[in-house]
Amino acid sequence: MPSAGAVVDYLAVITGTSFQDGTIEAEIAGAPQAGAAEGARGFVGIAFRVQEDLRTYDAFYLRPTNGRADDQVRRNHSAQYISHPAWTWSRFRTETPERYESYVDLVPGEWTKIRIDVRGAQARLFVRDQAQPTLIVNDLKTGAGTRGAVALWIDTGTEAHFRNVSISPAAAAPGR
Amino acid sequence: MLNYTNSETRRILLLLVPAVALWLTAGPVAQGVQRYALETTAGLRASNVTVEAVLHQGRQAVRLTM
Repeated sequence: MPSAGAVVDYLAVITGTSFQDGTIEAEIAGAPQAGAAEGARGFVGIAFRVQEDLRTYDAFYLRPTNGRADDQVRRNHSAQYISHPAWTWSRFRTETPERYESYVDLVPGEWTKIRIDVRGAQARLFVRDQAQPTLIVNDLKTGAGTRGAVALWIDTGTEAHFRNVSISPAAAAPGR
Repeated sequence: MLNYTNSETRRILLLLVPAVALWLTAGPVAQGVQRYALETTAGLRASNVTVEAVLHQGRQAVRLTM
């Protein structure tokens, strides 16, 4: 599992992106790296509203080896929302268990299409073209009006692949 | 086999024109969708990761590792 102590952020920012509200789609695949620790899950995801320090952002990510684990608790931890640096997965799990994690069927190393819809302080994660979201967040920790870059995101012991990212800004609300 | 008269064809075209115009002005292209195929590492700013362009399951992609 990612360290619960000092947070190190592993990401690749897509330069030139500036995202506040809208939709991000991507094809991602994550698996534990060869020789990774037992707790590696193939952590792979997309960070958004990434600030210049590259440490402050929201993100949804998957734990592919949990998707078909023979342990329901691990399955329940297949998808995760985080908001670094303050809101790590371990803090969420301690303070608000289950609220920012969910189950979704996953296969390590297999291409998985995801879609993230963001509107103000709300975000929804959709996996594999499902009509209903895998995970909903109604209180994004960066707030309702934060803007930042989009980044490819991994965590410890992961080998991840990414392709076909698209970013669609939300349509501006009509003036009154 | 359907036989359209000139007036019917014209009516269909007149109906299609506003629909196409609406799609062009309000569709995703007009709203500024940014697409990144990620077939190369160009345009990626790495932080604590190694980024490489590779083939994964037969598809061109970028690979992130620590």
